[in-house]
Amino acid sequence: MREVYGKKVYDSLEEIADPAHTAVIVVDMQNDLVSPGGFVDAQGHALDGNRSIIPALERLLDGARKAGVPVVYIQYVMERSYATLSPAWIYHSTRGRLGPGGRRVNLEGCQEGTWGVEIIPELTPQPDDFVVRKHRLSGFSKTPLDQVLRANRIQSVVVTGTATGGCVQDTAVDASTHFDYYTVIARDCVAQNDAPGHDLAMAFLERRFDIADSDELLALWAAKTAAAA
Amino acid sequence: MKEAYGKLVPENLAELCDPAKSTIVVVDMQNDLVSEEGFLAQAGDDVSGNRRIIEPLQRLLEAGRKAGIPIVYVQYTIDREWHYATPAWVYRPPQWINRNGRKRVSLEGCFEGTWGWDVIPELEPEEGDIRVYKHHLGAFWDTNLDKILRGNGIETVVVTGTATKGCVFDTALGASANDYYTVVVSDCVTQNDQEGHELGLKVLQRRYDHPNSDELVTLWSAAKE
Repeated sequence: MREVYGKKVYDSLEEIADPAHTAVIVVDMQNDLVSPGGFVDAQGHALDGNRSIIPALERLLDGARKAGVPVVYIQYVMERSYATLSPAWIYHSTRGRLGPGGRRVNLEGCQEGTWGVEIIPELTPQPDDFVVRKHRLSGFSKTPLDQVLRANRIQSVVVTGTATGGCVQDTAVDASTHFDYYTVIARDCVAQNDAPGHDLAMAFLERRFDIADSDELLALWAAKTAAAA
Repeated sequence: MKEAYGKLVPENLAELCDPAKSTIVVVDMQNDLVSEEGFLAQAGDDVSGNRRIIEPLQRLLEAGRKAGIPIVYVQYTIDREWHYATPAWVYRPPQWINRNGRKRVSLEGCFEGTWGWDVIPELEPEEGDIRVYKHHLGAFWDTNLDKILRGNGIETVVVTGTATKGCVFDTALGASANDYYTVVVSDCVTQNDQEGHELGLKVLQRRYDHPNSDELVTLWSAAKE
């Protein structure tokens, strides 16, 4: 911790990701985006990217819960009536990609009430977890996420989930330079099925955010828990 | 326009950038960031990256004004007591701080009311232009920009200015998150750090329409006739 410009500012990953004021955000790990038989799979796209992070994410969430770090799931939801679908959201979702094979998961998948909208069974939310429904890319976009984090005195967020260059990136940007949370990306817990897209997004995220491996965070949390015991 | 999911959606750049519903947002073209005598240049940064968009931006703004498009100037603003600076804003990951060198313009430049905080003389705002003061990267965050745009029937935000990977990026994200059609003008966004510029532009171009200024000037000039 150092004091600069009259503010007390955290200085290291250990301080930033202290379990006392950190939450893990799990973005869009839903059946339609991640599971075999879901929307993206049915469209014929490979799921390897999104599925590759499941084991690391399971371990991270397990460690978080043991250390008392709140777990917040973000769930993209589309109502059957398309009530939250704006012209600009349709436009940006389909730009240059309309036509055969151009069905978009964020317009036609993740429909409320379906199996596809649910969080994948490997990462089923636990009773103390919190689930935030969203209708755009960022988990903060017109949702109660900021309210929930503030209410629990959270100062730092660890961002995980999919897609690296989409909802993960926008959630991280909102967290840091909009809502003023220290923001950490868990490197091995963010994914995108499109590998070049993932790599480009990681290059961008690395320039703007702290990046940590899940093992680093787990070790840090375990040490804090042990010290407190 | 075409109908999709029960909504009318633009089909081409002319519909997307209709002068009746568009605004040009000019991000952070301030003396401290762009002028040779400003904070960054005086701190030893090469500001030629930021300066290279001045000319195309002048042409874009001129065509925009002739077509009746509202111009919004966004100014990064900090106070000398740093009331606007939050801990997470003061904090930066090491790789960000190192790149910026010794002093940070976001904390020690662009002080409210100073010459360095003003928009550069080459792009001097005119009467009727709109000014928005921000304390963060994105122009939509904790500002009245959304309210101003909605109040004036704006549907499309044309993003220009600096820096591609920072304030321009977050302003584009804010525009689309607030349900504006978002367009990034490829030759009117910039960053002194060329590598950062290219990376930011690549990420933006994957998501947004990204015409050159000439395309928009042609389009708006034709619409006027």
